Amino acid sequence: MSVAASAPVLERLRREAWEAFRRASDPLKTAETWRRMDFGSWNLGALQAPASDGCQARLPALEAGLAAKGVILCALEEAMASHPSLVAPHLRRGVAGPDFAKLEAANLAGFSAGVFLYVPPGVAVDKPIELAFHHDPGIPFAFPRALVILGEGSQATVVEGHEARQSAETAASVAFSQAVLGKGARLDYFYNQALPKNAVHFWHQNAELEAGALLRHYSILLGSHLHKSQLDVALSGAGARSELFGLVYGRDQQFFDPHTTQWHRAPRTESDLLFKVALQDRARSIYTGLIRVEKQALESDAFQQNDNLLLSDSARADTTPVLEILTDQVRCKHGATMGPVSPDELYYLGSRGLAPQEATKMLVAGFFDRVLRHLPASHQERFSSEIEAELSRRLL
Amino acid sequence: MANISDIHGIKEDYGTKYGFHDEENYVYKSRKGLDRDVVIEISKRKQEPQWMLDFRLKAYDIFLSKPRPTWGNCDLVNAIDFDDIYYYLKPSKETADKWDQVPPDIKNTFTKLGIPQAEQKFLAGVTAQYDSEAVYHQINAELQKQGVIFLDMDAGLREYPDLVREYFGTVIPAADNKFAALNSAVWSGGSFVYVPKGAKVAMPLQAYFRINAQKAGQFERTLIIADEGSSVHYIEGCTAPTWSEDALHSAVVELIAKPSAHIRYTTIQNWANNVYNLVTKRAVAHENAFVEWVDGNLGSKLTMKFPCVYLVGRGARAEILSCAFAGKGQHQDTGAKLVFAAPDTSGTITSKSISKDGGRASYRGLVKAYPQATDVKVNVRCDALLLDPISRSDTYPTMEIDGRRVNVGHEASVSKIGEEQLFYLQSRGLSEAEATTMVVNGFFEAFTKELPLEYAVELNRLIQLEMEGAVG
Repeated sequence: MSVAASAPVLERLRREAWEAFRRASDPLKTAETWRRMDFGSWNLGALQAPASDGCQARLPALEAGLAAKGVILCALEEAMASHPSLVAPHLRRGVAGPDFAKLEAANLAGFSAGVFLYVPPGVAVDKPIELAFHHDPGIPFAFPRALVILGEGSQATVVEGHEARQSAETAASVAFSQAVLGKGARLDYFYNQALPKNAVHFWHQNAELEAGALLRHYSILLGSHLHKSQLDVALSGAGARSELFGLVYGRDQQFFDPHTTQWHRAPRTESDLLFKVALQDRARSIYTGLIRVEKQALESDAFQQNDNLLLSDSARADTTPVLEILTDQVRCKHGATMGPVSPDELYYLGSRGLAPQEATKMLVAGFFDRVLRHLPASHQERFSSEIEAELSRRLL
Repeated sequence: MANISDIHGIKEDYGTKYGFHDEENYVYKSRKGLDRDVVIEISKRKQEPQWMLDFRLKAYDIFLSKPRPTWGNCDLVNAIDFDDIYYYLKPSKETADKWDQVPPDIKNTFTKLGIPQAEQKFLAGVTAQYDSEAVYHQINAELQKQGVIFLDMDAGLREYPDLVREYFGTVIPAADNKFAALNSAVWSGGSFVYVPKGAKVAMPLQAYFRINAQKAGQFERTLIIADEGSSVHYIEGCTAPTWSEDALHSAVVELIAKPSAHIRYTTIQNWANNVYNLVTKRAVAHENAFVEWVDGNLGSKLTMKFPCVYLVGRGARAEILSCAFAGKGQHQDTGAKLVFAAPDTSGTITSKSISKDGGRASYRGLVKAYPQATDVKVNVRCDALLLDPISRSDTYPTMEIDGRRVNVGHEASVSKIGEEQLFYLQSRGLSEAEATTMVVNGFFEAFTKELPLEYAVELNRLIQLEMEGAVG
């Protein structure tokens, strides 16, 4: 199909999405998952017309030889034209459940910075692929969108980054992301949210894993003023495994509301999760994590841990780790902790000559270490030094 | 220990042991359904002061205006037909203080349930409630001398109107939720306990709640006030006949622990599987007070019950132990809430649940710390056992921390019985059924060891009965 021939397909999709957006009720007041969100003065009603997208996706050039192996990396709109059968079903199905439906409709109707990555069966892409979304703060809404498809037995590392230059304007980004892992595929995925401190950011990713697939996912959340995200991982094929890591570091009046779902839908699936949240000043975090094990997901193993470190008296954290277990052949655990930096540890470090701030910095670095040391070698240094720099900036 | 040969299904013997019923022989039975006139009639028959009637009528309006809960098992909650329930059933003319004065068939019921025997052996006081009102009440003379008040709630209102008025509805206002509003409108029976300063009630006080009539509603209302430095242990048990029609039990229980007081409230709920058990229980713990909820849920069709402690005084402590067994057709939606509103407070929640034969056990909990709650420690532990592939377990904990220097730990696990444990016990010569029962008893031990011996024995026996048929 030519570009021209596919244009009506995309146009229709957008038209339908806009209608759905106008029909959909505001999720912000009704749904349990939105109840605790504090939007301040920002509201969705400001969105009056579709296609007001303030975002650009910067795509790297593919390494020579990868294209020849069938790897595709291009704009999503372009992929709709060149590979409609690969792209359209996923776009149609979308990412969101009812809670995010209105936002996703806005995204589908308006996205112009869409990215499509396809790795054919058996192909391994060694070098990380950076999907860098640059938000233009001059335009009130950005609609980034990514679709990543890994064929059977393929491998890739993807870094989805969100950033923007500082600006007096408050811009909102509403990002959706889909990852589809074929049998035995292996994907390392980074979600790096480093937006300016006045940005509003929504993000929702859905990852579907076929049998034996492995997803390792890292969320590094440092930016924006309001952050609400949802990461849903569906372990749909036997033996699929996911490892989810999250690092949240909030300051000033930053507000983070990350959700995760580990959905076990097939036998012998495994999932692991570790979310580390540190907050200072008046920052606030609301973590909600669900593990759901369906009847057919026999002999599954699920784990979830959320730790919250409160670095100031006015920082605030909520956590709701939820389990829904529908069969007995499982091992499933979750844990959550919350508390300030231990006075004993500060005292000990003080007795070794460290000033309180230096000691606190060391303890926060240690707190984050369990996430950072799981990063693949290729990214460990980059994110470790970013966090290190952030700690120095914030705490000293 | 059970033999494989006489294994039977879950609660199969409930019918003979608890599920029987007496012929209806009520002094008064309100007409079916609920309106203002029914509320007024209840209050009139009880010859209540005007303020209580006003309280009831206001609560009735709140009941009408509040929606049913939109969370939890909405299908079951929405199935309740409020027009198909009898709200007030008066079993006898007056509350007796000798079993001989209790109407014979009712006395016979409580004898079968073992209440008089237990009273002689290890209780300091007993109230036996049959549908809407207490039929028997007695308290140890020694306690009376100390000034301990233990009455059914209706008598409490008659004899101590000022004390009741001061505290009634202060911990759980009528507007708390739809079912608390319903209870506030039509309450009848329950216990009123006041323990004076420094008094220690060494032996437990017990209330036994029995539903007898078909389509009956039981709305008991309990208020316990432990004055400074006093301590009391209150136990309640409940059973009902196995009718084909559903019954509704919706209680409100308010506990007030004054500075340095200690209240322990133990529940062994073993309603028949057609009883909706929708209960609001809340305690306030003042400075250095200690409140314990020991909450066991074996029966009912749907239980929604989340015992709560508000820690409002410096140094207050709370412990909640929740234990649930969900069998066929049952949903035990239970849990605990701790609300910290004062410095140097602490609390623990331990939850144990077992799901079997398609039953569903949910832990639903809240840990909340307000900004003034500094230097708080709280620990939550939930363990769930699933005994077959068709049963379900959920954990819905919420932790909202706004206080400074608050340390929270939460852990939950869901699993089946470990193969290694079964293998080990079987290698010691136990059958699979015996081994399973033993592991389950061990799993519940944290709960049973908190009960008075007689209750622990009874509970172990109940679990054994519930467990028969677990394997094979």
